[in-house]
Amino acid sequence: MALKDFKRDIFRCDKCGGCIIGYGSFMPSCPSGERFGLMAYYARGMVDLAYGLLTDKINWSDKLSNIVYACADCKMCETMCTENTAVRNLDVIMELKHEAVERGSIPLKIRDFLEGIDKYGNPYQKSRQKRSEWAKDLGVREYSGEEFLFFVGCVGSYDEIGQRSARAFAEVLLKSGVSFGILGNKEICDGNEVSRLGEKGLFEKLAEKNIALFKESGVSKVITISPHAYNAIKNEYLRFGGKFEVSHSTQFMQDLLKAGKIQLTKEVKAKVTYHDPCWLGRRNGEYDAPRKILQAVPGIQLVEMTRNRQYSYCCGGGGGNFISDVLGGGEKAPASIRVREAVETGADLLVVACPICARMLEDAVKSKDFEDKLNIKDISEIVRNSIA
Amino acid sequence: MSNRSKSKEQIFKELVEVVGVENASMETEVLFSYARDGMSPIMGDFVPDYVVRPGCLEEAQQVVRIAAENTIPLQPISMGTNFGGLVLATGGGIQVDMRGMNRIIEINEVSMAATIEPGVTWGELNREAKKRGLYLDVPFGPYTGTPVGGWCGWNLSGYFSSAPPDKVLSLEVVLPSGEILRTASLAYPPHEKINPYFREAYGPDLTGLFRGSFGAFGIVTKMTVGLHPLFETQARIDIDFEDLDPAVKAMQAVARRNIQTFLALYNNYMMAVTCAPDFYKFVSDKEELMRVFRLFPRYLMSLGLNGSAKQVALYKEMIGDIVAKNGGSIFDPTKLEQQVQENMDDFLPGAGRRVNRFLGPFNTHASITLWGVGFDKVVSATKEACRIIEEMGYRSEMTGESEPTMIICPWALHGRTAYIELDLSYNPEDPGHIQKVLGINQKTMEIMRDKYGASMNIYYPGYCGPLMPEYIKLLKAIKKYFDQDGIMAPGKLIAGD
Repeated sequence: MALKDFKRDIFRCDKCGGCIIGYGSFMPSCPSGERFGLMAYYARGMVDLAYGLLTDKINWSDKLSNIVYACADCKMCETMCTENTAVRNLDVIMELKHEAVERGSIPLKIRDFLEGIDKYGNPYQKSRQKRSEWAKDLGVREYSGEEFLFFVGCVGSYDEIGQRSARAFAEVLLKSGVSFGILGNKEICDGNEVSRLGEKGLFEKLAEKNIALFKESGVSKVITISPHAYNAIKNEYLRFGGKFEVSHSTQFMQDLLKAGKIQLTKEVKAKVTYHDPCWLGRRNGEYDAPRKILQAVPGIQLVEMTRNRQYSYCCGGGGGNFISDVLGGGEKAPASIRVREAVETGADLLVVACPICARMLEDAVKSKDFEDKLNIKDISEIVRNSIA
Repeated sequence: MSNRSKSKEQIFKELVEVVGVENASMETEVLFSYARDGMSPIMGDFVPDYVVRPGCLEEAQQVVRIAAENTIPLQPISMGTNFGGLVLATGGGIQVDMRGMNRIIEINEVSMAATIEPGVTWGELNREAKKRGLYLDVPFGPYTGTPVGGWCGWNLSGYFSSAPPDKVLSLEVVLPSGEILRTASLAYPPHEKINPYFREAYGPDLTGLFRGSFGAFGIVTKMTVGLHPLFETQARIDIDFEDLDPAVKAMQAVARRNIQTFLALYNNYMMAVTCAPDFYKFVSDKEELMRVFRLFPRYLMSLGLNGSAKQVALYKEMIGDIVAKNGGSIFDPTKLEQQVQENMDDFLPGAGRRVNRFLGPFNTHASITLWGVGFDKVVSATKEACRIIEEMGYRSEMTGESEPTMIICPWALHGRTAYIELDLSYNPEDPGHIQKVLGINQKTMEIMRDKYGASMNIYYPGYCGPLMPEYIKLLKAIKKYFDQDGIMAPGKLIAGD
């Protein structure tokens, strides 16, 4: 596809502002827009930039690329827009990113992100041999035909905060007695962010490699803690011949609870609020499994932030930003806004279900000196701590 | 118009010193993102020279002073949700993005009023008002519009309701000179904290001067607006009519009693497009389109009620009598699929999420808007307008028919007059189609103006042709008084200024 294929959408944006203010909460909804404030950083501004390119009124530039790659790809804009106008504004932004890649006009930090994945199988540019270090001493087996593949993802494998989530979920699986294994150092990036950053060629390469590896290994069922990986494997691998039964960790834990394979008996006394990850909630419609789990944990009082479920405010980690940091920090950073919103609920714990969200929000808590007010926990940690 | 003694870069530096480097830009890409609004398919793009985003009154004032010293045009914008080209920097200059001022400063439950900044939206203010047992009279439009833009820029109203159209109580405005004007009871400085709620203070209505001014007299930085009490019981009644005449009679009868929180009449096309369960499917699948059309009656009148349980029961009885007398029947939306019901709940009370769907698949707006029509003329005006539209060859992209989506509602207390809207839409990619539809729009509105007394709620230079010379002279004089160098929203209020 090319930008001209989105001409209909580009010409039809009527500047209603639905991409700026979310319905329901009537609060700001766009991470890049709120971070930078100027109209160019909202979907309607980016659609206008696409119009400018299409009509030769503006040209590609580094500034344009920087604006476009500020988009955290949370889909809030399209959620608000398409119901109202049938304008696919996020698809327009994605096409701008793709075109930036084709032109070699992507920001340096995004280029490094993509190159890291291409060379090392992860955006951290860390050794493949260290990918499974998170699982050390846990007793997790390398996959060899078990019922489930636990696909960890890059953040869960390499990031210190993400590793906490990975270990916690692995412990839940071990306690449940479920037959599972991990790919260990053979695992490579699922490619979801690669695709969303416009690098379709690299995504195809990653998808084909993963599909081949899964098939060779006899994988048919996949569980993952990463909503990004969940989306890629469940929805995007299909067009490359990869059809697998995929569950997010929250869905799987809910099933374990229903089947009686785990019992939550130890009290976790806390007032918690839950942050819906974009790729699990808005993009894949899963809002209830995490909440049902939390409500099943003795001692937990669940309170909702104003912007919840499909109106959840993005942590700002998407679009590669958890590494590239295009959005930067400070009061207007999405994660800072989100943790302030969590603090306002009076909750002690902000529970997440995505390693990227965990990292972004944890950093925001620390930068705002909120450690005495709010802790970040992955839902797997809560469940693990509550299992007898 | 710029004072050439200073370079653009020097001026930009001064602006940055006021608002901060993150809140100002003269980069092409950023400027272009302000170049278009809902009218741009017709008007084109207008790229400002600078954009600034003041965060407080003092910053706004200093920006205006820089503009005044250097004779640079100013164009304020809040959310920019308009179809009039009103936020476009047609004169170049400084685009003043007022969304940085977005506080609800106060909601006073006793005086039933809210004091807000320009970046506050209808949806946000209504949400906060409801938490305090109050509600905002919102217009037909998206929740993302703003009271400041809608009431001061455009002269909108919550025209559905039984309340007077004008809810603006007092204003704080930065004049083109950089001075600050406060109107109504806000004009007396000690009243800023204790009583900005009295519009009729101190003689001539200066607040009213700024209504419908297109921002041409100054930049509004604060507005106090009237709210309404929310009682224990709310209800919505939907009424089915087969013909327009009895529907309008019933509407007039209800409006006279002044009991509704909102009241409007829609044709089935309007109901179908705004309440279709799946909009994508609706605009792309003819079978789905016809299926959804058949869900709704030919005309649906919808009204809201608010009061004690006894009051609402009594109102319902009164309305039942009016309906029976005029041959309508109560429409039961609970028979419809869940998503349609939810969409009706969103759309009908106003400032909804799906309201812009009325723009149809083209998502453009060349609506025939007829304001202030006497109720005795509504039916004949509507029918004649539809006939003209058909004869001039308009066909809806959605239905292939000539009848557009339609809304009729009372305007002003007791329904003294009515508002009729017939929504034409043009293909934004086809200049020929744009011209054709605009021609139909212009011709129809001229006939309606001359034959039925239909007016506009604003002095719109492009349309309001042969008005009284004295009126234009006075308007120009007022503009000149406030804005000697013509820097504030040039060309918006007075053509060619």
